[in-house]
Amino acid sequence: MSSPSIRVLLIPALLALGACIPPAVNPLRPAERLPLVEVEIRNTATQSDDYVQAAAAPARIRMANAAAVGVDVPVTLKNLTFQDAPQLHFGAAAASNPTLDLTLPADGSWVSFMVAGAPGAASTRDKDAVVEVLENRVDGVVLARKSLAVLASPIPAAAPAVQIQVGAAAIVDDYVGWRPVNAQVRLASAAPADVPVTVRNLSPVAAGKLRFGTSVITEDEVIPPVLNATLSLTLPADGSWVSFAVAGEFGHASVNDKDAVLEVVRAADNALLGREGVMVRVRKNANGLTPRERERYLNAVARSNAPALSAYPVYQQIHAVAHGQAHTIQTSPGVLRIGPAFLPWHRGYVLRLERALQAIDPAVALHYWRFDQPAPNVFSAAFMGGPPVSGKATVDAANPLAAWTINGFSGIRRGLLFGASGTPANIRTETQTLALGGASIAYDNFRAMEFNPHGTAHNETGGPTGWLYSLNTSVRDPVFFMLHSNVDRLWAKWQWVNGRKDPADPLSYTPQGTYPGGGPYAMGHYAEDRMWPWDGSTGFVIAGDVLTERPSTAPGGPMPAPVGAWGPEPSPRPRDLVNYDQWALLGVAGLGFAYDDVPF
Amino acid sequence: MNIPRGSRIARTAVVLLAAVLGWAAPAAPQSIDTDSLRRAYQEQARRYREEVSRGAAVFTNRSAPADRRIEAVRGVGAFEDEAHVAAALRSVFDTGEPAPVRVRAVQLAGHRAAADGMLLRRLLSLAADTTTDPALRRAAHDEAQAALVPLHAGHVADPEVLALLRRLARDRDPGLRRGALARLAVVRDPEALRMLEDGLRSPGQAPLPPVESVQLLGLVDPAPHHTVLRQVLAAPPDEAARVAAIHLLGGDPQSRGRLVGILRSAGETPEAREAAMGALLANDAENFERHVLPVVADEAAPSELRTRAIKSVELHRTTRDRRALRLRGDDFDARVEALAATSRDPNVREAARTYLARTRSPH
Repeated sequence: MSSPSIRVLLIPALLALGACIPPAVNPLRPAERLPLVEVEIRNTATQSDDYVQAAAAPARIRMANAAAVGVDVPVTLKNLTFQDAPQLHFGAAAASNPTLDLTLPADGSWVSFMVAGAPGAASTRDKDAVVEVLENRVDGVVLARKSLAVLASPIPAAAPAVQIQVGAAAIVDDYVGWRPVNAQVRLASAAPADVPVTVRNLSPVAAGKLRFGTSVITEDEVIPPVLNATLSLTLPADGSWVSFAVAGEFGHASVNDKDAVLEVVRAADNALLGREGVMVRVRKNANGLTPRERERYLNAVARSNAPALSAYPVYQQIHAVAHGQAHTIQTSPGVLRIGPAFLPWHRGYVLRLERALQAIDPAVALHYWRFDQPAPNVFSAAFMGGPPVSGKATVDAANPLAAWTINGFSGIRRGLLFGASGTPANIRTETQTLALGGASIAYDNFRAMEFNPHGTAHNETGGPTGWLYSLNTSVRDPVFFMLHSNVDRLWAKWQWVNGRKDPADPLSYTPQGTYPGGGPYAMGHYAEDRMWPWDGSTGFVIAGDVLTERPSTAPGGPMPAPVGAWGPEPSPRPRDLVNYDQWALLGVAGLGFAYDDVPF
Repeated sequence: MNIPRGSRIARTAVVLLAAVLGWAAPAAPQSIDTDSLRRAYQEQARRYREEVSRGAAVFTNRSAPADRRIEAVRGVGAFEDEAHVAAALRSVFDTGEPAPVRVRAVQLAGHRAAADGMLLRRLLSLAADTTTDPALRRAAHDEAQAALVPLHAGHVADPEVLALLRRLARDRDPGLRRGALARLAVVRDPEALRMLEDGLRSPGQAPLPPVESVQLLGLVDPAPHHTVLRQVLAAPPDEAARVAAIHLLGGDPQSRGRLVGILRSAGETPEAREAAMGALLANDAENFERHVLPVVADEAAPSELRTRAIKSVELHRTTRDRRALRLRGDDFDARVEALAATSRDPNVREAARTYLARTRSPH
């Protein structure tokens, strides 16, 4: 472990590097900067007083990056949908409505409002009441979710009060996986002396659970911090920030937003100083989701395909022509063009949709369909569609997918050859897939999984009269993304088991370098190549060189820069998507996703 | 937090066992030892590779009895070792090998077709060879199809592969015909599409049941086939094909009125009416409320149809400009409001109430 002096030197460097990361843009309208919103209950930055009762309490909201956004932003304050939580009321003077429309001014000034518990509302645990800030427009995205509690009893007074920050300043990135991310805490006002504190989970744990550690940086490498259930810190009397690391505890993912609560208590007497709610958000086995998780997912997917958002159709446009950019294809009689970038390309592609879904509902993750196990809860009329009738998946009338329309067709064309309670015939099991790689356990051998289980899952689920049967039409079926989330999970697990995350290691990714001209692989498949469509290239990149040919369009544009320090960069290369933890990359907090059964 | 080492190991062992066996990991009150978990996966992979190696040694031994060879690789998904793959492929194409061995060999080594265009051709040739054992033909076809998911989507195609698929499209085995025609239909192969259309006009020559022919014609874009689809609608070979055609005629201006009529007709089956509703939703969304209003209002109409109609409008309207939702209610709104209070159908009342709640409080 390095000395404190080295940490002091290196942290500014880290922050400077972080400053080089592109500012966040709206995932659904990438030409626009994403407003980063601050919400303060009782008009204080400290979370120590984030409690309301039936009587209205003052609060305020503003854009933290107003100068960059440059325009007024109309928003609506509301309660969460698809989460059982104490309801809040809002208002300009009295808090009497479940929603409130406001405009955040372009000059970044605060806008005041009142908040109270709705009649009869009461929290059962701290941070279970949530204010959602939603852009007030038909294609509006969620800008923030602020957690608090509704108490019947008097508000506890914490002394001294603290301010807790997870991730970047925006509360829209208060989502963690298994990978440690930066957090910080400070006294909300100057104190007569330093205050020793303990950071820990609120007990009892609802669902999401956290672990904490110091940010450890050595002069040679960045190594992950040791994480524990509690962390001892000393908060300086002058109110300066103290950094620490926080991560979800493997095996304890959240079920609802803000159900992972970290608390800061005074070490001397365990007096509560403040709490903050976050979510341990990971991609889960879709067959095991709770009803609320399924509702959330369906709502986000259905809305992404709504005409006003038109987010989902772009993915269909991309994949319908992706061909040699993302797959192994046949280019001439008997000649196959192997597509090594199949896995990183689809990792980026799936991630791109996931972020669009999270703009609609930040509590959503792109859950996976584990295709080597029966998944009757996935293939049900209440979720992703039940046994097909006349070639269409059966969907309950109340299911948001009941109105799924795409390419002029209503419904989902699916064959489901194995039935709702079966598994695709002859599909490689997870054990068999994880054993791929040959004697040297190499990526070049592992990617045979493109054929089986990937190709087998496509054929058996779609076929042969369903959309998943072919690359041209497969994205029309929203199960596509659950299928590919599992493909990616298998890769991530193989990487984790075998230590294959270093993109500079040929065992982790082949081919290395950049397109050398003349192949053997096409441009875009070498580790350092930029990938279509995110690089915006169309037609022949090198005139006459068929191995550099792109489709005639590049739908969707670059990868939108997300909030906080998540990667990848707007025009990613395969190497940028190999190490999804991206721990060794200073200033980057990973790709922002994790799987429930693949540890950090 | 100090955790007794013994109990921590015991709990970790339970979780490891669950993870290795593919069960959902039970809730562990303490942290999971991820290093041990990793080692468990590595050990599992190592044991599997050993199993493959042992099995391959028996399977590739041509002097061993066929049933013993097959049993030896019962738990093996595929061969990865080059020598094993090569030996298995030799068995695939060796007519002196017992058919069950050749079938298993195809399953163990056919994945190489994804990296070897010549092998892909050979597998398809095997599938198309009517003198070959039927199970072997199907196995070869299935392996080739897994390789064809991405392979045939490009604009460049292998003429020999196309020719083989066209041959399979005429095979006596309906499964082979179906797979081949699907693969050809999705790349808009003119010959395959002609076969499907001709089969609808002359059912005695149809390569597939009419409903599947209709579905494949409409798989990518039904517009070029509107003429034959209208014919199916007017003179259906069977009701399933007719319903399938209804699904695909939403984009046909000539059929719009007919679809509205089907939707509103009490003499039509619920499946046909629902298909018409879906076709109109997908292709005439702006007028959809007007199309479904009589159905929604009809207390004699099927409950499922009415609730789906209300739900479809609700989803349609709640993803539109919210300012439109605050305008004075239209006929549809007024009718749904009445239904919420007075419909005899509890499902319709529920759907109506949900509609009102969500469209009037858009968040």
